[in-house]
Amino acid sequence: MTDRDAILARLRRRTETPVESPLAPPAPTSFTDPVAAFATTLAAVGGHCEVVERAGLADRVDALTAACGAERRRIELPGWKEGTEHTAADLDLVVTDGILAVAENAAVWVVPATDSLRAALFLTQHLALVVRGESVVQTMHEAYAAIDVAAAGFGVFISGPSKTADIEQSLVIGAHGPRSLTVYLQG
Amino acid sequence: MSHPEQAARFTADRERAAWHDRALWSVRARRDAAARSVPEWEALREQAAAIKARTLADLASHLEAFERHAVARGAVVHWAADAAAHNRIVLEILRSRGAARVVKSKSMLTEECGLNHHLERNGVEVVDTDLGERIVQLRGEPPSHIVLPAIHLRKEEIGDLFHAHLGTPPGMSDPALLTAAARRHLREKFLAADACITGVNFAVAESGGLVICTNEGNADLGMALPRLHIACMGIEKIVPRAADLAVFTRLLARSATGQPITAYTSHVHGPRPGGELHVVIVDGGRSQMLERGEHAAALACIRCGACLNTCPVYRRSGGHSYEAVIPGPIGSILAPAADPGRHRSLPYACTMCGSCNDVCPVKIDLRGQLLRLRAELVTAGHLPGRRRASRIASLLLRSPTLYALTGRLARRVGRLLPGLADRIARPWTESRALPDLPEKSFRQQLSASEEGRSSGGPR
Repeated sequence: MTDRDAILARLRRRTETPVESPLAPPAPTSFTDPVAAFATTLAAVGGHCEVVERAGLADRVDALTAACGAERRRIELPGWKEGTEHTAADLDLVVTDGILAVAENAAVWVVPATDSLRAALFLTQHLALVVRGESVVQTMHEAYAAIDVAAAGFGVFISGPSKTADIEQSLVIGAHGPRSLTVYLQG
Repeated sequence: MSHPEQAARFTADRERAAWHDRALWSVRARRDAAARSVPEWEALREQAAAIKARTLADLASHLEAFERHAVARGAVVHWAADAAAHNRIVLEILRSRGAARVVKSKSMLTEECGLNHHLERNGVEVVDTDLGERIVQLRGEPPSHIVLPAIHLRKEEIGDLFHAHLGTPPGMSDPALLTAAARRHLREKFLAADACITGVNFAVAESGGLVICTNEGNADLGMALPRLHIACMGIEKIVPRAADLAVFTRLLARSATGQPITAYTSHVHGPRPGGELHVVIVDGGRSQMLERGEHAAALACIRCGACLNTCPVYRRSGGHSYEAVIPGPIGSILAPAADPGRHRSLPYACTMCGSCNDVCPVKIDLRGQLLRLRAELVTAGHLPGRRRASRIASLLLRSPTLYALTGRLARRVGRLLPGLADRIARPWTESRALPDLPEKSFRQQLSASEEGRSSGGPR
């Protein structure tokens, strides 16, 4: 008998009638101003949120580029692609779009379109995500209801920059992934 | 060695033990603040417990569904009955692809299986990429906490370690600088790796997907660079639906460290283009635990570490005192359930305060399980001393004559030979003084006053 058969046989011996469980708790959190809640929480986890008009995005990205001292940047937004020739490991700044943002924990759901962008998301020194303002949802319940996590091979909720507190509980921003995260909520 | 013996070494350094205690308690405090910020926190816990109970009630179906969907997405699914099978499978996958340099993100399951040692013995370089895990790996010791592996170390010790292994300047102990040095060191490892091994926080049955949560991004770097990804999971990591993930992602990080969510919560379905994804599903005694039933509820654990952070015994004895892969309250159930003889002291590393029950996000009755384990261990003969003591106590309590006689003897010895009494009452008297023992027992005093009354005193 294979390990698989043996394991499943043992498990089936104890099968009980499954109990239905509800999808969402009776009274889920609801912020009166989800955008403000998102921004506050993002700041609390070490990120930075800006509300921008569509027209002003390019200027903000240029300002961020200068502030980070970024020499090599890669932009992958609808209608604006730049820097895809750079090796992912050499990137200072990556700017791409997120599908939705979650107010309760400042998470942004990102589905990188290419394998190369996926690596860039984590290798870059600084990361910026652009999300439409109306795509801010309240909690993870709404988020999972709105997306299909299985649609793409890889998707990630990103909340703030990379961090660790493994050395004496001292929080250090920028463990292995990006050292900063900026989210632009586009009006 | 038993837990008390190991713990005695830890507590011998009182200053360090106090520091460890404070550090863990501050993590508990952060968890409390996070829980308070979610008005429906208790309802979430109820829901998480219900989802886990539902899943464990029909684990076979969920595992089969997971396998079906994962394979349909291009993953290769392997099944391992035990640690040896798991290690064999992982090594075989690596060997057949000529992979000799592996980066690994945190997986308590691979710790349980002793994977690192097995791979290193067979010529594979394994680099643990979680900073805390890398630290304990360089020190050649096991992690002392499931979420904060190096919590038992001071920054000066880590500074010395990095000076020896990473060439940082001697005496440098600033956490930010040490982390930066580790970032550079591990980045090289990511870029040069042939394969990555990760754990699995949640496996989604309805879609065949894997969810992996980190704050550092180390699992993602591992998965995004080398083309070969091996994901190792225990059978109990299954959740039925993607929608269920909402409940667990809201609870996990808040319970673990007080953060609203980990920095990265990655969802993987199938291999990368041109890559391979292998999922190794490990039983390792879990199906037997489910079958036996008494401790099946412990399989709901989502490995958040909250019970460790709150446990007064864990805080003051440290993870290494348990000599088990997973320490603390949950470990004190899982280890003796698997190997009662070896871990018989662990259910007694407990004050029965029940604080663990209060913080467990999936509402496992940890305290009840620990109590039940004590009875099981004694009944099964693993603690003959305790069984004897129980029998003697039972004898005394059933016989008023014997009870009174023993009491009289104890009071006499206690008053005439306090040193002897002290020695008999060890280890209780190591940090306590015996009370002043009275000449007469309550019964003796009562019968004396009744005699007094009946011989003419006031009514």
